[in-house]
Amino acid sequence: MSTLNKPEETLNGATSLQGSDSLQPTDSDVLLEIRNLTKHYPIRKKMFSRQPAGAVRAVDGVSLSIKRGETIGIVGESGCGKSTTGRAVLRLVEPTAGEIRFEGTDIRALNPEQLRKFRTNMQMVFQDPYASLDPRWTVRQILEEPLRTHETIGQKELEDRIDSLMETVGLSPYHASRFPHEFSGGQRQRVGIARALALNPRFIVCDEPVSALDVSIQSQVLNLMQDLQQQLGLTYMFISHDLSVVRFISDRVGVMYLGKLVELAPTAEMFAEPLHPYTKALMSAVPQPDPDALRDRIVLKGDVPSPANPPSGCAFHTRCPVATERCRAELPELKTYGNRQVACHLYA
Amino acid sequence: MSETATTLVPNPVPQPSAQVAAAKRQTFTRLLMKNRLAMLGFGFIIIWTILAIIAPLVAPYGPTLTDTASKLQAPNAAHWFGTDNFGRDVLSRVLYGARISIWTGLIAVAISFCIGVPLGGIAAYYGGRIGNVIMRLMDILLAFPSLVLSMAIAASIGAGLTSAMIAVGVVGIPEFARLMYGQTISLKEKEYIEASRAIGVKDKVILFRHILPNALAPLLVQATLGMGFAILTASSLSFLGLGVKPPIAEWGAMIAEGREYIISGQWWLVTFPGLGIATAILGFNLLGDGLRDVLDPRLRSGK
Repeated sequence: MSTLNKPEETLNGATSLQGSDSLQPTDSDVLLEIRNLTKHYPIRKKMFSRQPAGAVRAVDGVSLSIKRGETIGIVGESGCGKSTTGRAVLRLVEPTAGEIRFEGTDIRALNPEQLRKFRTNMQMVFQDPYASLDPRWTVRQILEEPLRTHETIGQKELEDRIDSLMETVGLSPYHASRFPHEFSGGQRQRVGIARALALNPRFIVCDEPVSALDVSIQSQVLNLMQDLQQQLGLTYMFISHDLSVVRFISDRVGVMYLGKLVELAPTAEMFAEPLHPYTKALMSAVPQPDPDALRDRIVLKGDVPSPANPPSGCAFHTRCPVATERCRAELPELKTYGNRQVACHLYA
Repeated sequence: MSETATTLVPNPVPQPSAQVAAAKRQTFTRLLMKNRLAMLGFGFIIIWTILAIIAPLVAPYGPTLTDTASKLQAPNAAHWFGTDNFGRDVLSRVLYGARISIWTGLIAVAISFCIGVPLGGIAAYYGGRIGNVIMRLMDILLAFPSLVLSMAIAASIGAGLTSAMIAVGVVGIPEFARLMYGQTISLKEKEYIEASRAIGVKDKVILFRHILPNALAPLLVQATLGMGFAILTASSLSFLGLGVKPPIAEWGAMIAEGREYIISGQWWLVTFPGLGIATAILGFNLLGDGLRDVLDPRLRSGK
């Protein structure tokens, strides 16, 4: 990852330690710094009251720094806020609070027009390749859209760019004039990836990009994404509920529960020794290929609590097998231990 | 696993895409053709449109040509539909009336469409206060009976063909706005719209190039049904004296002029323009229903 650094960028690191809360990049490796990202959806109960009756805390104070060229996996159950996190980082949903710095640029401070231009830096690959391509547009039109939006280029160059984009993702340019419904799911997802790549972004949020695909196609698409990352020096935020997929593609994994990041660690360490009780339960649910292997299956009791009314203290204490009094009362902070972070009183 | 780099060929689809699209269009036309009522409606529309266009060629007399010597004649060989109290040929007037009615319908629907659709789209896409203000305005327009509202508008602009067109067009705006509003609300949550936003496409481009084409089917149905409504309302305005000025041949005005003669037995004065209105509206309504059945089976009424 660090091969991408230019020498002058490492100099910035030295000046960055003024004030612990300032968001100066502490590390020149950092591409994206997310601090206390929050997205609350107001609930209006009464028809004419201006005052919201509460809020669904979809994302509740997520802090994360993403290094250049790495893939950070975000896992969690459905409804834990992982997709909202990805969208809030790109400001596809407007965050309620928090800071997002992309190489020092505060994304939340950009006005709509600046943001529109800034979007060339960061793109998104969507979950459902059947819903993410306009059914009335041909593949050529779909791929032209980003180029026409941000660049003024001639017809000839436009066609060359689209041909090479399609080749990059393993599609034949011959099929550019077809409509999305004429392609298979995997091919459609390749079109989605090509569209995200069209503007040469550096950061791509991948929101469950393979979960709508057949398992055999999943590996093809994952390999493609990995190849592209190496060729183009991309940084991924890879959102998924599939632990094996995340294990395969990620350098680091973040685990989310009820809108909060509960654990963040390098992939190998996370899978070898999960720290947070929730992560342990999650890992124990992964099927093992070896039928004789010893398995401690941790089955969680109850349902995920409502994010509109999260439990006091540690949000996980209602289902945690090792919860104590302290967990009910006090919210554990995400603390750093070596190269990993965990939010649990067990490790305080 | 590096074979993914090699170019994949999409599923063997036997026909090239032009043919696939043609096939889709074929099923659409075939379904519509199979709908006999829709075809009947389409027939009425075609006949009236052609007659309206070639009216000067086929009309036996001028529409305003008076001949007091032969006034109030019952239908006969020289005047198939009879003559009115000024001796004007009713057939010729009905044919010329078709020009005005269809033209009025087209312009009025165009006004409703071109104002209502952007309003509904903007209201739904931006939502919030702008959306609320726009849609509540539409609700206010909808709260008035359409004929009363169009009368009020036509009367305030002043009688005339143009003001009738405007009045009928304005009355039709909320229908299109609401339809587009609903379509946009559901479409704007689609991932391909979000993808365009992620790319940084401008809002107006998203609205016009992504949302409008995907919302077009129900809007077309509404436009077709709206033609019938517009023709009826415009005729009503003329009947009430708020539409075209007297010498001009218009179906509603003809009925108004002829209505005194029903009692004295001159039925042809009101019957033929009445049939004109009825068949033209029937045509548009039948075609509109048929289009809806074919384009959007979910909207099908419980038949």
